[in-house]
Amino acid sequence: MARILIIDDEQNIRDVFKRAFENAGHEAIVAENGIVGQQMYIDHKPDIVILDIIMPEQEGIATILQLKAVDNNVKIIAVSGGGMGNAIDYLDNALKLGAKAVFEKPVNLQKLINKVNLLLME
Amino acid sequence: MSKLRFLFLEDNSVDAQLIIDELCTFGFLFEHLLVNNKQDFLAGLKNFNPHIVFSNYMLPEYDGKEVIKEIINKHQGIPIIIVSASINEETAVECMKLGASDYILKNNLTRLGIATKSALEIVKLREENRQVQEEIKAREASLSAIFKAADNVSFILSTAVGEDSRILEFSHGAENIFGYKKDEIIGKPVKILHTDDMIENFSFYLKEMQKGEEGFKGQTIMIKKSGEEFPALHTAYPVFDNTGNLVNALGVTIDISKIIEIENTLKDREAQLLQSQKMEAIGLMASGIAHNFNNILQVVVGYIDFAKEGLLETDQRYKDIEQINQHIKRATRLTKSLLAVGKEQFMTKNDIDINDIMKPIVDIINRTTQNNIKVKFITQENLPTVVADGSQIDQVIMNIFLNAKDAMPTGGLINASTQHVFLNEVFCSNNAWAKVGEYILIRITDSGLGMDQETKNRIFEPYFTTKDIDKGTGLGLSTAFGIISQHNGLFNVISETNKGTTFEIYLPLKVT
Repeated sequence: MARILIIDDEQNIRDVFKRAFENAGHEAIVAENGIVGQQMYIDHKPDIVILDIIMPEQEGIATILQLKAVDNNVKIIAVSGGGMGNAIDYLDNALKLGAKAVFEKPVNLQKLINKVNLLLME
Repeated sequence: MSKLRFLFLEDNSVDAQLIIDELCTFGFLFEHLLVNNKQDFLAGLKNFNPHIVFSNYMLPEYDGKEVIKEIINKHQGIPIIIVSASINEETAVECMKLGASDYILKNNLTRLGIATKSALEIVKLREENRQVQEEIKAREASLSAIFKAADNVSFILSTAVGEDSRILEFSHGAENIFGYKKDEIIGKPVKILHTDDMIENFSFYLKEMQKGEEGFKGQTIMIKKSGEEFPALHTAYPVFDNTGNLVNALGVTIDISKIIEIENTLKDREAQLLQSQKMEAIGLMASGIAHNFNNILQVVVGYIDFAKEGLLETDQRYKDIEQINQHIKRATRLTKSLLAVGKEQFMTKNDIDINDIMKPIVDIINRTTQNNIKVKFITQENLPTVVADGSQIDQVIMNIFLNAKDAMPTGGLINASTQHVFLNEVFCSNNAWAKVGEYILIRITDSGLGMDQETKNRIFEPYFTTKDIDKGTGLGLSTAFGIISQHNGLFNVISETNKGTTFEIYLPLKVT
């Protein structure tokens, strides 16, 4: 049982991820952008952050840096829908900047949950 | 008009006065200088600069012939009239031969006036002629210089009689452009420089020039000495004599092959640029669509999982939902290829086992319970992989299966197979569409309506369709053909009306 923070600008995706994690027995909180997400991280100290890389306002990559500034050991899983430039590169950058894992949307939820469980054990 | 200057060489002053009076009476207005010896005469010639000299024949130190010679040799242009007492036809003739303008008798001065007038007129005419000649020379020199300088412009003067027109002049530029030397081509027919098309129209252009128009003006093909044809800008100007008759034609020609080459290169570059701009725009758009699509797919994937909750795998509902899942996977592969477009990679090639693509599609079609369509799929053990873009091949195969389905409106059997084959030279020489090599052959055969020869010839045409308006855009097979071509594969169709259709796709094993 862990606390998962989901940062994604799409309401539907926030709902889906939230429900999936709750079904798997975790607690899930959501944020609609990096700025809100950063605040929620400070307030709620989640164990894992699921972060959409491409968002308006605070862009996903910038959010990684912001979160790391708050807590260098933050466990981030970056996801991306691609497009708007170069998805693969973004995900590469996410890894370089310290994300623990990256997934291309649409991500298989079971795989995502498995990864989360793995990271929780570290 | 300034006064004339008359120089008299006469030792008899009475005679001199008579001559002067006669000239005055005749109407001349003049200054005169009278000298009676050689020295003064020579000085007078130099300083007085007379328009005409009147001289006695018999003088103490000087005879008329000497005087004449003096003038002719050193003062050409000044006429001299001998006015003498004695008559001697021989002498008179001799004087004239030496260059005197006339020989007048002192006791009959009546002709003096007219002779003087003639002599002066001749001088005037000579001077005018000289000026004209000089002008002509200067003009010719300028023209020559122009023609010479224009060594990239061909000036060719020819007669203007139609097909048999001959070359009269050939400029330096013409030599450079056509490769002929002036000497070898003057006199030759001008048509050797032209193509048959042009020669056919010579009589037409001749008529135009006779009207005063340019004969030909524009871009055409002309021929060099080497036989090489080249694009040229050519104008034929009519040249008239002073009675208004067309006598010659002046052809002015420029070789524009370099210009055309550059033009074509520019056009190519422009097209390339436009194409890459288009691709970029398409890429951006595709990326944007893919992004949004992936987000939507993510939600759908989530609800597929949720919908399965509490169901057994054997439940029909579960199976239906799994179908949705399979199609979602295909949609996912499609969006991945959309992203590939955005990345300037039109294909993302991987090592693909074709059966990984065939089997799910066969599965989908079999599970579709309408239409009584059944697919029987045969393959072989250990089918080798090919290097291909999975989602594109998926598209192609799906398209063919759908066509097979549509060909059997009341249901039927589709036979599908994949196998490893080798096409040899014999086979290829008997089948125009084939190329020698090792392939994975995908064969899909339906037992449907088949196609006639005419339809078969057109199926790869974009937008060609035999389906109703709302049932097909006609893009499927032409896209499929494009995809297989890009993979260096082969496409073969075997079909006859009411005998069903077989589609064969050959995907090469080796990537060269």
